[in-house]
Amino acid sequence: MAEATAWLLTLDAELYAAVGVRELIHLVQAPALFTVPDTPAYCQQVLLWQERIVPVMDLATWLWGRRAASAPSLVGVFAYQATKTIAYGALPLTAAPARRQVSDEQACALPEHPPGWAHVAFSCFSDEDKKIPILNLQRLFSDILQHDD
Amino acid sequence: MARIQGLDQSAQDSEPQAGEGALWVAMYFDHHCLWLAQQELCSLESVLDVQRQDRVAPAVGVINWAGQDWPVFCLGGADLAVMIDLPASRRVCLLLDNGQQRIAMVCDRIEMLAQSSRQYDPLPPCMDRSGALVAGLIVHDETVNCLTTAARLASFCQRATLQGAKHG
Repeated sequence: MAEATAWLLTLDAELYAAVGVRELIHLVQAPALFTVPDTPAYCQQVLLWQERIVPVMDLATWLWGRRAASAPSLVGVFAYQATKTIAYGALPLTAAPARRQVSDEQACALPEHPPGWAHVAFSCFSDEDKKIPILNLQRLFSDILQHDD
Repeated sequence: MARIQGLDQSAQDSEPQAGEGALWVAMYFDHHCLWLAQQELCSLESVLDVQRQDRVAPAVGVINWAGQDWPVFCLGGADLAVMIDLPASRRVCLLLDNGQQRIAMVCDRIEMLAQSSRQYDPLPPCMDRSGALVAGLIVHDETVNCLTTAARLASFCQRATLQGAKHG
């Protein structure tokens, strides 16, 4: 039975997701964010992190289709493999990430509500009474959500 | 409907040229700021020269320069939208010409900048969409600044014009 370590992310009061343990590389409290006009409602801000411009993707806004809080108090910075290089993206979090050991036995179907998880998640596992989608960061930070907007 | 010359061109036709010796003008609208390559700046005029009686929304007026009427647009508000009113804080009218589009923008103030070596980053793919107002992002004084072009400004204002026409 295969096991892996994941970070459990709290996106809002009802939404949880997970990433691989090596994908979360930094947490920024009270981040200074810069708003970019004429961008999608779920991705209107960037973070200046280690001299890199990192997009801040508000996944809860995309999933729920509603406007998010404008000033998150915590964001996680994530690294993922893009086409030829390592790329970075950030997600607002409402709580510090928690480490989880996940086994194949915990695999389950993606939550049906809100719809949209299938576009941004590889798979899902159960954690106590919650379903936790595992994020596909490369897809999440691509332009794919604009076509599903 | 306010007509912007040359709008048959794509907004991506002339992207900002960053790098060694690139010169920029920072345009301030309320709490927003957009950077534009100085090479697209044709003239600076006073907002007092904007003729408001001939305006066709969403243009806030026209300005006559070099024998031609240029539609004048105003950006502002929380989301940096095209405004149909001209706030009292707008003082400067920039005439922009990239050889294909001519458009005039009013703003609160401008700042001439020299950005020597830093390349700009294109918008991240998850933020970018066809004809977006912002072409790229550039770091200056620990802040992230948004780059635009005359073509993108024209396209953005034209979108507002078409939406206005659609909504009567």
